[in-house]
Amino acid sequence: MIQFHHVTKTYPRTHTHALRDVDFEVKKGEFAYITGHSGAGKSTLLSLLLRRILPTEGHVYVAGQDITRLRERRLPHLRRAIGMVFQDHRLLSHLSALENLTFALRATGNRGNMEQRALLALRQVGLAHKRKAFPIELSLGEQQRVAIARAMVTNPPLLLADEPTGNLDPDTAMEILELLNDVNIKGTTVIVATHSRDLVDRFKRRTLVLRNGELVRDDDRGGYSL
Amino acid sequence: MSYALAQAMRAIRANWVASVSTITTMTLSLTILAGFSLVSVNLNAVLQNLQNELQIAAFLDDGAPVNQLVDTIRSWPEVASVDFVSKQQALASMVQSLPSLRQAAALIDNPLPNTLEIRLVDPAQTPVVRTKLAQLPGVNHIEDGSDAVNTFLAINDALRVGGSILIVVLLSAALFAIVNSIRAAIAQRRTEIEVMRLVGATRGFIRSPFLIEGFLLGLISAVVTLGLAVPGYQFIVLRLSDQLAFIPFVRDNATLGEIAGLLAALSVLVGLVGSAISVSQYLREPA
Ligand SMILES: Nc1ncnc2c1ncn2[C@@H]1O[C@H](COP(=O)(O)OP(=O)(O)OP(=O)(O)O)[C@@H](O)[C@H]1O
Ligand SMILES: [Mg+2]
Repeated sequence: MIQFHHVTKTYPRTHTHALRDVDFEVKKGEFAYITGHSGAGKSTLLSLLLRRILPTEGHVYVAGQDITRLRERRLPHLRRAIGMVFQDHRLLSHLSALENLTFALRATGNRGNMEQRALLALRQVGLAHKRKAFPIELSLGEQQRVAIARAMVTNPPLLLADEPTGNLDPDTAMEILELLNDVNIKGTTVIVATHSRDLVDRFKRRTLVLRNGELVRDDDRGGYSL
Repeated sequence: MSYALAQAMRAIRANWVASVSTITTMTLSLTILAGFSLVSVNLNAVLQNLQNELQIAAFLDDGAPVNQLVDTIRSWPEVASVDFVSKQQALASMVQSLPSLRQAAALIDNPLPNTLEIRLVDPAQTPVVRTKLAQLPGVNHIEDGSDAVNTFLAINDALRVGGSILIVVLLSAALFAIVNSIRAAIAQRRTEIEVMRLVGATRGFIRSPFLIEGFLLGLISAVVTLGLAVPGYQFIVLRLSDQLAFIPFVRDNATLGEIAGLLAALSVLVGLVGSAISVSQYLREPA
């Protein structure tokens, strides 16, 4: 599904070596954590997958395609194949939960029965009854679930989550992780960047550990220990 | 498309203060341009009129060989017509236009000379014909209306240069108003744009609402400008056509329609170009 081929990323302005010669593959249908201390390069790795930035060296493949050579015209195509969830959820505050989802559908060129599809996605995260609520009227956990629903409403084969539980209490964080697991069970490849030791230890999955931009461990049934 | 249009209208309404300010700036610029175009068109009409009426008057010595002169001049290719006005006719027409002179005219000898009024095929030939006339026997002196024409030509030239500068300044003002307005609209929708990018909206989808907004602002400004300029011009023509009878006020719909169409097109173009500038400046894809 995705492949990093000797990827190095240096931010030229600050001379930061965010990733150094990172090389790994995640297969279709897998669930993987990217862990590491703050500043280890997790977000950088996800940004490369979305092609919000380009690697300094090496190549990144998504679904067999070298996205470092992607033309700008093809970017929307790549991003439609990827659902993205952020720590700060990035819901649009002037739209209701349902409208946030239909917004994503419309923006990606979907026209037919958007409301039904959006409602279905909300139901899958258990928030159909909150469809009319605005983000400010939802708890943080609920906001994050709407964000996951938005990421999944277009049925992308790949879901990326950057610190999706960062703002949540442990129980709510577990709920979110279960939700991501549900998504994965239905066939979507899921990659979660987190520095939450708790999560990784309680919900053991393949774990890639970054340290100062280097991939230092790749365990099938991880655990956080650095 | 209809979604983008709805978004654009929503943006215009949501930011109505900024929208009104942009439309005002544009309308002001366009109205001045409209006024300038109308002045220029009318001045051209005056000039045309003057040039058509331009004739050369050759004042003759008493006892000059009138018939021979008329024949000679009539044979020149530059000349359209020659009329002989005798000193009696000249006096009579003078008295007719200024009746108070009647008594004076009766008391003195007729001081006016015999005159040949010459109309040319092309007014530009005036200097050539003057030279030829001066060489004829019996021609005392020559006058023509080229001074007036030259004055008007000079005004017209000045107006053209001033107008060009004015157009650049006014269109720049209109353009900056649009650029600024669309930039504000983009800034206001930063998060929306960010989300659209992340979920994979196309460039066209992201940009079209802003381009349409620029187009609409241009269109609205054009409508407001014409709404002001058309009745305004009609009013001015109505009020001034008596006082300024020598101006053949342009009223034909083809010419006026052309000016209106040009202004409207310009306005819409400025709207589109302005928003295109903003969009390409402030909606760049990183990397
Ligand atoms: N846009 C940028 N320009 C310059 N340097 C950057 C940029 N983004 C990240 N960095 C640097 O790159 C390194 C890796 O950052 P990154 O955000 O990938 O870390 P992270 O693992 O996501 O950390 P966190 O857990 O705190 O989110 C850091 O040293 C950071 O300062
Ligand atoms: Mg990060």
